[in-house]
Amino acid sequence: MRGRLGMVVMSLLLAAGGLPAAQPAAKKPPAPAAKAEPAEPTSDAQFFSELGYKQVATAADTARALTILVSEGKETGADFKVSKAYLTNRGILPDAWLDKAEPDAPTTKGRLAVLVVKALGVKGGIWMRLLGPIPRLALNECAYLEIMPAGCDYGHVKGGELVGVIDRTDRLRSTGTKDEVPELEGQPSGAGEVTK
Amino acid sequence: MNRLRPLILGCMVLLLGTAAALGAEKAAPPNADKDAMDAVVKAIKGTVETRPAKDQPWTPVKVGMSLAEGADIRTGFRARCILDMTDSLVQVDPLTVVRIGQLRKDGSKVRTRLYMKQGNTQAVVEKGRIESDFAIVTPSATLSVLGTDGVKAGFFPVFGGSYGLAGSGLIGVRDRMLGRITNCAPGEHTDDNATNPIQTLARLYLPVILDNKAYDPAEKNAAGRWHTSTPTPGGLYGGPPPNTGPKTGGQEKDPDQTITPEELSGHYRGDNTIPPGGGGPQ
Repeated sequence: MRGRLGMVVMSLLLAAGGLPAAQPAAKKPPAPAAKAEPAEPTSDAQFFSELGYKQVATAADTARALTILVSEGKETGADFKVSKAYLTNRGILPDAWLDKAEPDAPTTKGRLAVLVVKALGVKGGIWMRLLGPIPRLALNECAYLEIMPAGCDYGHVKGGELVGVIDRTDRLRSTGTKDEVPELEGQPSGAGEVTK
Repeated sequence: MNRLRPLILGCMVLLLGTAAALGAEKAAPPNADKDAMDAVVKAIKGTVETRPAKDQPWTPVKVGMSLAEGADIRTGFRARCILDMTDSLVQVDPLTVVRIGQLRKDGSKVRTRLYMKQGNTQAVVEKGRIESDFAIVTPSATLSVLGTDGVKAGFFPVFGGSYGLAGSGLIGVRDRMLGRITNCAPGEHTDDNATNPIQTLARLYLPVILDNKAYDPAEKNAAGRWHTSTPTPGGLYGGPPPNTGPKTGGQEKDPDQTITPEELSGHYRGDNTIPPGGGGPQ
């Protein structure tokens, strides 16, 4: 008798528990519209290491890399518009290709050379002084300074090549300053542990 | 019930023993190889990150941290770190991605292999007191140390590699494609092709000979524009820039491009079939 009573109580409890779940879902408030997720913040080390695997550097990559170069390591993040605004404020972007480019447009060597020449404030030789930093002359100037490999100005820039340009440009700029990469000095700890 | 008690106790002991053994197996350090050694981080500056293996997450590097074989290291802008590898001291320079490929005792030697994907490294290798087998491997060349300090290796895609010796001793560079080997004495450096250091210097400092249209040799041969059957890109004749349009995969948008990929399909270059209606002027 007790067992039957218990079964009845249990079934009643289960039914009561299931009632709210059976209510129509129409009464629920509508879900808020999904917002675009902001890009996950990435460190500059992650950005440059992942850039090395890209076959072609895009305009967004170029803008971020140049922002890091010009600001000497102060990041503005992966936002293309913010990077462009920063470069415009620094006087690098006006009249440059990057100003009107789509974020996923590929970067060419000549266009990158124009931006690098503007970032470094290189005046160049007689032709560049007369004609301004047009892509071919800017690339020749960068090749002379050994910050870009010589070649055709319309070729696409590889991701790893852009990393190399940023590295060499910063080395050239910081030579003789406190930011120069120092020579390695010192001795390893285990000197003398393993002998011949 | 009393008869079953010893049986239940036995099962519990067996289960506990198995769990303890499994736990001990999990807790064992991944670098259990007795010949394997660790690199110790001596100094860092800026953003330096590491991961113990390929599928592991990246974490910031701290001074005193031990990095085992297979660990990857990457550095950010103006960042660097110094690793103590028992027989050698290695400085990973900015914008570098490097892996500790091997770091182990091999008999009486310490065998070290650094796999550098991009960037620059400097090294001091103690040859006088320790027998070392030290090498830096890049995608295009291998630099091996014959006993020295002031070793410098750098590699970036398209730029290629640069391998040199600033201190005393001797280094050997082997071209990974052709197997050509050259040695660099103090003050000398070479490239990916293991070019003789004297020729490398000549290439850098002798004047570039331009042709009658003021093109230098590297520019003339770039992208097959001259000396090949490849046609000159349309961009040079005032047409759309190269690598544009739907035929090339649409990598770059051409502002003057009025034809859509749908319209283009079936009208590829060389299609001489007469269109419906006979074609030509009506």
